[in-house]
Amino acid sequence: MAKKMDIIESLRAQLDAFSAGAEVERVGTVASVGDGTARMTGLSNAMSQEMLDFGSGVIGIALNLEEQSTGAILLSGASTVKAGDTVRATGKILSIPVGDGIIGRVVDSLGQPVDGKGPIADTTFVSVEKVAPGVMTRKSVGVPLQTGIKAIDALIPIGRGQRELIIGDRQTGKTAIAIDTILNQAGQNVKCVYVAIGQKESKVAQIRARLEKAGAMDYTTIVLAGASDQAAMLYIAPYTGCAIAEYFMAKGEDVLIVYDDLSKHAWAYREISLLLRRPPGREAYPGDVFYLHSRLLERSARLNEENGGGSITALPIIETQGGDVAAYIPTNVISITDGQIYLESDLFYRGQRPALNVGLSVSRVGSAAQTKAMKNVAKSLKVDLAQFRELEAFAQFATDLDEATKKQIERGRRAMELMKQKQYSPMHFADQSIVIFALNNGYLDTIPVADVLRFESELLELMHGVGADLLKAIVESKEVTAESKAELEKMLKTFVAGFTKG
Amino acid sequence: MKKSLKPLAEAIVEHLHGRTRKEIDKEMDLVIKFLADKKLLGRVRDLEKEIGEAWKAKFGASKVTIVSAHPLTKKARLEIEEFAKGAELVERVDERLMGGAVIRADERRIDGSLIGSLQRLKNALLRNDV
Repeated sequence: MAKKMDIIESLRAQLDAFSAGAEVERVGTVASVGDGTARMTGLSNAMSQEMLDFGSGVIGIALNLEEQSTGAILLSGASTVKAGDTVRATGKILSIPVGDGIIGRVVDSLGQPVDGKGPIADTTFVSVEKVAPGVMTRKSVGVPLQTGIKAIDALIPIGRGQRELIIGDRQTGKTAIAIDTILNQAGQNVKCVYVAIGQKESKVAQIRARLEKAGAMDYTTIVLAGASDQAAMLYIAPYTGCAIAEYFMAKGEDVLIVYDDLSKHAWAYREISLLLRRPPGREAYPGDVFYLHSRLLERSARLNEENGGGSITALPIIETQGGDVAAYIPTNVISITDGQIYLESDLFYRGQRPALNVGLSVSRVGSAAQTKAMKNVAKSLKVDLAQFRELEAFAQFATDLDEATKKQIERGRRAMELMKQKQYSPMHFADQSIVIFALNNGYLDTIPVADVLRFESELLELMHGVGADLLKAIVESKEVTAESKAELEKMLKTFVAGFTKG
Repeated sequence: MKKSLKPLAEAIVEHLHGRTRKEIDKEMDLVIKFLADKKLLGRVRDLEKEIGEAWKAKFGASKVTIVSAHPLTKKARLEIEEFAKGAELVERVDERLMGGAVIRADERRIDGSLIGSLQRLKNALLRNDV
């Protein structure tokens, strides 16, 4: 236990060690301020993205380094800054406090908690902007990140360290996919960071409540830059989230980060750039809007063992307008990421949820990010769905179809029905493998399409009850071995017979 | 594209820095006529800024502001004038500094005030990094 003299001696030592010498500071004068930006004269040696102290706790970031003036964005308290104020260059690039205690918390773009649970203890400052890992420090993506969503894990598999874009119109279930993925990381040793950029705070509150209810906040951090925050905070938020993810990746851990959404991030950057009088380019975005997202997403990677073996898997979200994936920002982000999950409004309203367009969605990592069990069953499923898509339109007009075609269409309809999944109901990969196995081997061919999901639910109930040992074997080996297959087929035959009768 | 007034400002500073006020007035008359001929009278403010920059580049500082807790002594004023030759000198007294002074020379600021030292001590103790 510390003694009184320990405290007094420590205080005296600190005072003795303190040097009160005057330092030369670099300063400038605010020439104009407004709309969250400020223009200063002086500060000719300011660095790009250097933090500037406007006094009274107001911090800004220098973005425009011009010959005669410096332009900066204000991160907070813009209303207290006025023309003529003195601005001091801090010599530091923007950093945020991060520690293990940030898990389970809701923080703003500056890393400050906004959930009312008090300060975060034991933090170190990490730069918000960092250079992405180099080629030689990386390892190829090979470990699956299970989303718990059948259509994705089977057809568009995601691996740890991959960047998979979720793209679609408004209200097509983009955030739902991201949240279900976070929920499915329970017990997977994956930390999650959800970055809310320009979202309604009521929506983020609902998401947080849902994550808390499912116990997901035990491994999740939320970075919030809400719709009412300034553009500067929206601009920084994804980089803050990435800095938090990198903190855990550097410790050798796997992290999942969701950027919801980068369209609003691009809008905020456009707003800042126009206010700073940067020349507008296509659609009034500044010329470096590609770099805005590329430098962010390149920081998501899988590191090799020498560098800790950690990974950051990114799920950036982009909202399209009228299904236009060929617009400026969507095409930019599509070209950066390792694949996209394309959600369509038509499918959504037709009841196909998640509303994945399997034809247009792709994962460039592919089966390298799948367990053996899933790899084996997914091959046939992909082929069945591809053939169904070709035949579907044809079937609407055809009068007489041959048996093979009819069978293909029926199989495809059941496959599409099986791909439906309720929100907040992620499924273990073993469960997914079993139901898709059942589909591929014709066990659903005699089941009416409307009963497919009930079939699935009752089959899984059986597997978790009587078939628990078999399920455990599949989970442990991550594949359906020959013995497991024989046993599974036996169980399925019996189950189908009972289901059909009942 | 706007013509740069930097070369003109540099020439003015180079030519006039050691002259008397009378000589400067005579030369400035010529400068104004030159600006009028070139239709640059509207940019006199820009020229003023450029002269400040040119002076700073040549002599180290163009404007020095001293805020001190007590009025400057004659000796201190002379030393500052020696340090920043020809610069515009602005003096202000602010008792809230308690002691010492804050000197700002263009983009550099040196805080040698007592209140500044106490603030730095407070920050250091709060950061606990001394």
